[in-house]
Amino acid sequence: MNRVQGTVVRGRGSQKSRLGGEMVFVLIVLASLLIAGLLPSFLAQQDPWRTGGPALAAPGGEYLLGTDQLGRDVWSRLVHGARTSLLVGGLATLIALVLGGMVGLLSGTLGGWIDELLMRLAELVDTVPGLLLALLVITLIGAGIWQVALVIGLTGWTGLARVLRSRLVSIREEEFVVGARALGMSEARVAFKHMLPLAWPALLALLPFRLEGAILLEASLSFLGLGDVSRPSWGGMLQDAQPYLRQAWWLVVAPGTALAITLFALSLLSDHLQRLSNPRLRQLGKA
Amino acid sequence: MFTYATRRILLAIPLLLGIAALNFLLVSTAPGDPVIYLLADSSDPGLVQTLRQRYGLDQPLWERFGAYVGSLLQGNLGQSITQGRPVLEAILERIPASAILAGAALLIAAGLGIPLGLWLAKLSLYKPRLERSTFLAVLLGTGLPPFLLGQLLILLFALHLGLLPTNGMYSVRGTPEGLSRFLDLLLHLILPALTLGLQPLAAIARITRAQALEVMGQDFVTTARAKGLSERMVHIKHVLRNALPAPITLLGLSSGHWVGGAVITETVFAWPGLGRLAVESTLARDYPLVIGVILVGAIGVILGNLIADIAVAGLDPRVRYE
Amino acid sequence: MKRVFCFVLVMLFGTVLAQNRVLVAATNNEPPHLNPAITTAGNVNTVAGSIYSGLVGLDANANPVPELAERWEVRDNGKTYVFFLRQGVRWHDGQPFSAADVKFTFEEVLLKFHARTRAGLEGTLTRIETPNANTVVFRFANPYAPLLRRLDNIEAPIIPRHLYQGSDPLNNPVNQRPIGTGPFKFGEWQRGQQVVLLKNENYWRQGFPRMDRVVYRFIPNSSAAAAALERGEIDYLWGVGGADVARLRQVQTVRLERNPAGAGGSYCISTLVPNLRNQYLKNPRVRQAFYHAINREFILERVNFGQGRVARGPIASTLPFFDPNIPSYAFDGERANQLLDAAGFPRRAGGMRFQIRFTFAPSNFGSLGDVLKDQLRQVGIDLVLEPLDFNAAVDKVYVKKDFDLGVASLCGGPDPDIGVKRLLTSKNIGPIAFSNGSLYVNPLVDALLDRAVQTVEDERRIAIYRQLQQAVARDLPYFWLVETEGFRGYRSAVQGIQIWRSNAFENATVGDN
Repeated sequence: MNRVQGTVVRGRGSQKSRLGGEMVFVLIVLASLLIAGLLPSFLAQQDPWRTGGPALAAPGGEYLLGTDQLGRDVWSRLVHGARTSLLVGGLATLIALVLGGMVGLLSGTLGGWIDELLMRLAELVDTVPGLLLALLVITLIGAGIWQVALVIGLTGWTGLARVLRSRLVSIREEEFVVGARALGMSEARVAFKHMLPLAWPALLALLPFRLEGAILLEASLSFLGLGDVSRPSWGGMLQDAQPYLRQAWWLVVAPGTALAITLFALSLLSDHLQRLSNPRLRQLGKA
Repeated sequence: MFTYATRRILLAIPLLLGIAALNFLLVSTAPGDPVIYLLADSSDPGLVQTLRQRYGLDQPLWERFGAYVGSLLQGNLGQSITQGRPVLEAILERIPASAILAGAALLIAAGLGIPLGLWLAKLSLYKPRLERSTFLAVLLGTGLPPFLLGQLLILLFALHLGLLPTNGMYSVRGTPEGLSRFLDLLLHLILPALTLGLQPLAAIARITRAQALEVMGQDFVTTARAKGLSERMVHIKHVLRNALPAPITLLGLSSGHWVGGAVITETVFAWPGLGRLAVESTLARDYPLVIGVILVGAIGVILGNLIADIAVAGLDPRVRYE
Repeated sequence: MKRVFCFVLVMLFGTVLAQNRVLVAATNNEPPHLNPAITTAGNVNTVAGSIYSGLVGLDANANPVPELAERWEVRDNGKTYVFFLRQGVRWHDGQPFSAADVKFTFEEVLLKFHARTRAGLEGTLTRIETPNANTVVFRFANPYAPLLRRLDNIEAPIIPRHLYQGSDPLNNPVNQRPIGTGPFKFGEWQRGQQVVLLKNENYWRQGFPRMDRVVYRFIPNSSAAAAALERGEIDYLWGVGGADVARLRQVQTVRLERNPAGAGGSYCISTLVPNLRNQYLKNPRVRQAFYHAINREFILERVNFGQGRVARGPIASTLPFFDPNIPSYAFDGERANQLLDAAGFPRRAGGMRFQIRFTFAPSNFGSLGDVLKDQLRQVGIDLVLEPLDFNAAVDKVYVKKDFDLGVASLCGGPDPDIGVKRLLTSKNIGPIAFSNGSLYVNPLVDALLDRAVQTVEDERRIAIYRQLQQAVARDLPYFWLVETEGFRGYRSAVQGIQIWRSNAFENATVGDN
């Protein structure tokens, strides 16, 4: 028993520094993504839309990461693709956050029939399998990145709303909230001043998860021929690459690695945030 | 429990009607027309008119809506426009394939994900470094889009190693009987089930791990240990029991994945499930069929959640059926 | 573990060897039903072609050869056709085939629901007579030259009267379990997976077919289908994906064959459809510039993987009706720029002259949009991509007419009357899919089209169609890009597949590989 405790304590010291190292990695990834998204031409001089280069040229030489079937520069498309993926993912997450936040807040603080109604609505959205609904809607309204982001956002808010609501409901009964209410504070004030600050970390922890889901769904829609073809995106690049899996590995490896690293960093971040937002886990860390 | 389940199922009926109605409006007001599909590449005004009348497409929207909801209330899903036969018939044929694939993937996800999560949680107490790297590997595994994963698996196991078939549910040459038919199915099932199950596996492992860690820090576990219960007993009796509800609930909530997410897997492996039917009928604007498949998917989700809730309640005596 | 696998494989292989007269053919597109008389959809014909027969077949050069009709006579200068039917032919359910089946199929089904047969025969076919059980007479109002090329089992499959009479042919259950007269009869349909056909022991052509079973396997993903061919899980693959051609060439057990024309002598041309009411595209000089700005060789090479030929007009260059002397509008950016300047659309700030929307389905035309966008911006035309699914794109371009530029794969048969006329005649402007989508009106073209149908001698018809191609090439109501061709792949053990026929497997065999 003591031995075990000892290991745990010793392990925890190095765990802290390693977590720090992981966060540095996350920061580096996110920073490079941001640079690529905001200033793509800074990182890649070639025009990502220019066709006419040699087909399927291997990496190295004139083309850092090779070319695709149309002779376009893969590195350039990768860098410009970061913007599309971030845009779709970010926008979808934002829509989901706003919707989920509003629904969760109303449901969790007001309760009663509003809560009932909103939760039924969430159930309705959740009951239709997400990809099927996305498939249907995109088929019907077209495949621009705005549409894709909208669909992903509209189907992705329910989880956020539920988490926020359940957090708020449990906080609602805590002593200091009950106390504040007893002191005559208005419902809205109690909600914003006392409940939300405690509840929102849980919501935040889910965000990278949402972003990850959005980027993956965008890739899946591209695979079904329903992505936005007018600008490069990692999902679209992966979809274009799949017939060349064995002839031109770089077409798969480049966007695949970029996507995997990004999702990995987001997962790490979400894991970390979840740890921070969960008081019990935090306690375990302090013990 | 039985009355609870019945009540939940009865409550689901208006929900399903709502879904059907919403989707009908969505599909009917959108661009595209089943007649375009039926015409293939030909152009013929007379035929267009004949077909539009035939399928009531020349009627105003609200009349078609009324007729559709009316027949739905009588339990009739309508007639498929493209296949020329009842929607129910077209859907029922596909359910076994979908159920087998989903079941196998679920088995992989839960059967491997839950032990992995528990193991990780335990490991974090003894060997945090190993735990962390394993956990990171699990995270990395979630980042691969299923269509790529599927093709990589085909490349490796079918073409490179020559061990497994590339497509379909059964071998194409000769239909073996009895046990060898079952083995044939199993061989065909491995790669698609892996493709569909890997992402949920990682998610399950993740949430089980988090939950187990949380449980381990709680007073009753410490008390149990202090009472002199062996580590193994502590794990089985308390940790497992209290950590399980979270992954089970997650499985229930994500049951949409087993229906919707299978679209990609079915496409890569030519698996004859409902997902392909959903894609094909959407592209053809076969409205009754599209809505039928979505309804079946929704029923799957409702049942998945119901089963998960019942399982959780069985594990935790504190949970009561409301 | 590996041992278990080997054991299983041996067991499975055992069953494979037991039934080696099976041909497995794969396609990416599962048909919704198997009644080829109510649709012109290619996926239905792919499978139903082996089950049904037509009155007349087509040989490799698209010449009529006997099928259900043993011989025929053309009378009254092409106004009357008499077909003498083969005797003793039976439907797959054992019922005798007769002239009544032919009359029923045409009058009750083909002329009502088969778009191309309707378009060709409606109005001009006045009567079908059956003087006895083995003779069918077609009577026309005017001489009708193309008839013999429109009677194969894609254009006019004969279906059983005894099973369809008095029913709704669109919803008849026989559509799911077809009964035909062809070389193979229906066995089983595992939806989403495969259709199994069995040898028709009573097929009228003695000694055929040579396989016991044909299995049509549906594999939606083309890379997976190529992998299945490479592994020998399938014997034959319609339409090898362009990206897979190069790799499959390296595989020793696989052979690839180019098919110059599809079944029934048909061809397809990927064609841009400009809206001639668009403020820019209505200008002929803009259209000429547009055509000059597009590098069709590049599109053929990179988008179509070299499968096909550069297209120059509405009639495929493989047909005798094609006119090799029409202007070709070679790729020439400088000329395009001059024409656009002269048309009064100078480059503005930013280098662009004007904007054109391109409404298309990426699932069908792949990266064509990316290529066109890049090529056209070189001459200052800003192409805005509007990707939609196929159905919505067709709806927007053809039905709603809410478009600037669309694209379609336009297919025609061995006779230009099938397929070409509908695109060019001003009578076919309306909210109808694959009609005269660019809204083209030229009275000379209308007159030539009418004259061609009523002329019987091939020489004179060729002259008329050449005149037509000259007029159309001047006006440019469409931009023809590529005459697309496909590669079909098969295991080298497979022999005798007749790709020009819709019942391609009548003569096929699979040896030991």
